[in-house]
Amino acid sequence: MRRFLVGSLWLSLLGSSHALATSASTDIFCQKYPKALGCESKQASCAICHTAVPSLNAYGDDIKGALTGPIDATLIGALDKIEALDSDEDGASNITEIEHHSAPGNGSIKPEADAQLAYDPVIAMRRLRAIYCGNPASYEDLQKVKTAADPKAILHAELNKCLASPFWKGEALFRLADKKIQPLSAIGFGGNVVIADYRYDYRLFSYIMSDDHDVRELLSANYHIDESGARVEGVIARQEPAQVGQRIVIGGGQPLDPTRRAGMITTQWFLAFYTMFAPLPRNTASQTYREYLGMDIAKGEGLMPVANEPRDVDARNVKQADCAVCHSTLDPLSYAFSTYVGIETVQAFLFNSNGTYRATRQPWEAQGQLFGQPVTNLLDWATKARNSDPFKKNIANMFFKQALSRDPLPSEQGEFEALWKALPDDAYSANKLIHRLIETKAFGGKRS
Amino acid sequence: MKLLGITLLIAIGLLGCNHKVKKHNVRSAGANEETDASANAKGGGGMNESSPAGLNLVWKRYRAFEGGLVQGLSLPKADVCKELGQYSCIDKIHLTVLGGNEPYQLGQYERPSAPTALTPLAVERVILAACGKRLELDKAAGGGALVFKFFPLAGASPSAAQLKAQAGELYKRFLAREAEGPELDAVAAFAGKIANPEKAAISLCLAIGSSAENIFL
Repeated sequence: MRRFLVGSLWLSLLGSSHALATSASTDIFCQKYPKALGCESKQASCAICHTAVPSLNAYGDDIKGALTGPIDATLIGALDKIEALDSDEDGASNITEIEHHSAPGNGSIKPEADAQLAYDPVIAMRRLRAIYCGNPASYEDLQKVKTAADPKAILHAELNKCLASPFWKGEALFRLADKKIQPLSAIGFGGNVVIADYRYDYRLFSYIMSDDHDVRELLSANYHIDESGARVEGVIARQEPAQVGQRIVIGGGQPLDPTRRAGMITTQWFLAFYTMFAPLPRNTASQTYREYLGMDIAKGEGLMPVANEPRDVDARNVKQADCAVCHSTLDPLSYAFSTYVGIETVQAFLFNSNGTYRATRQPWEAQGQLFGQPVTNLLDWATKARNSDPFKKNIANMFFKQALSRDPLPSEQGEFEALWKALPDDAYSANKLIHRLIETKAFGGKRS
Repeated sequence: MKLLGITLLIAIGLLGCNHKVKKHNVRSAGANEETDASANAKGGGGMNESSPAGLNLVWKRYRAFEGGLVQGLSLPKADVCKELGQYSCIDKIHLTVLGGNEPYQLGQYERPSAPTALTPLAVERVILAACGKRLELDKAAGGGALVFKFFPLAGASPSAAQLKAQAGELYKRFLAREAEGPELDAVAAFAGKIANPEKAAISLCLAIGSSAENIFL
């Protein structure tokens, strides 16, 4: 696991024939520096060597300059050579930063002992009311917290109210889903060219992420939610009839057989919008990998090359070395999506086929891999994904960033790890995760 | 322009008088070291490069910002601010710079991670509109004024005591805390310098409402 999480560290030491990243290099780095940020948390791993992939930061540049041959063979020597340097010129040596959970290539982050913070329930109340209720705490609210014998009980009671509010369920969670769904009104319900109805996606996301539902249903739900908030089982017909004229309507409802559904990644919108006409739905797979497992292949994250890949099954010329760096991971991720229809025209008009399953669409369905394990189809893919650590970390990171507008800091890694690791104990409830989040010092800490 | 000048003077006075100012240390990233008056006194509210917003402070984004004005000034949501009298400042015109995003029409799938260069302008615009609306309502209410009730809105320049009382009310309403002595003293120092009581009321409202402490959590 560690190996693929940190794979991105070395991806783009490009520009030097010696410096092409390999997964073996990541093992070397993590064996040498087990305390390094990239060896335990994906969220910060890229930043050790990169500003934005493929651009190197100062530490990455120094590694590149110190290599004397192929990276796997000379990396240890290169790392040794630059340990005493201060690549980012922040006054702390590289080795000090690595061993103290800091960033040797980022001058604005320096090693420090764990911040001496004390939890301040007033700060927590101010934040939770604004973030989860959309309505700041009043003078009276804060007075209650200040004078309470058990202020945390007040915080949790208030949070319960917030998480049940229309603001949270109908606005904040919708905004959290935007990047996953990427709606476009012109081609959604009521648009000029309707390929699918993304309102189902928002409702399903909000439903699963609230009221103590199991967040793993993001990748397993075989139901949908109607406009009244009720669960709907089975196929859902188009809300407006197919038409071709001033407006074109070829999509709508949820036509996919429920036995082929895997939550958010098999809605009609998701499949139509991301797959479109592609024989091999790489975009659909990479969006799933990015938004539900937290790994952005375009940034070199989560690379886990599969032997003999890419095979270039759809003749896109991805076997070239520069392409293969990513496609050796991406293409095997994509095969399971290839039996789901993206956008069709006549078939869609007649039979609402966008986003449906068709076993004969392509022959690659059972040839894929996820996390180094074979996957037989998309349901198998989704099962492995939703039960993985990256899925849990991504859920926790999503709420952490939603609250604090940033990733966890080095000094907060312990709290962050506790958050995502508690998900199984909390029956994978997003609400319970947020209750834990507001008790962290990252959320409510004040320097003592 | 004159109003802005007065407001600025008041704001400068508030900043200069605060006794809790601490030197910000980049190494404190992650620690909510400065809160309440000290965050206010920093003025930048963590927006400069060495103190990225979000490390020490949390940006009070559009809906909570709006909620603060609705609650603090006892205004209906629809009355907080409208451009050209019809377009919501919060939900439409200034949404992005106030920390929101509009995905459906504009394809904005992510909110801004930190305040932009235009955020202070939008914040002041919205607060000024909301304060103006409250003033209008309180003028019409006469003795039943809800917020601006500590000096007559027509007539003589407010006294130091009246200004202090009004500022104390606004601190509670906007910042959910009691004003501190130096803050009230700074306000009192302007007694007699603002002849028009309406302008005094608006200036206080804008200065306190647009303080960093009301924009960051």
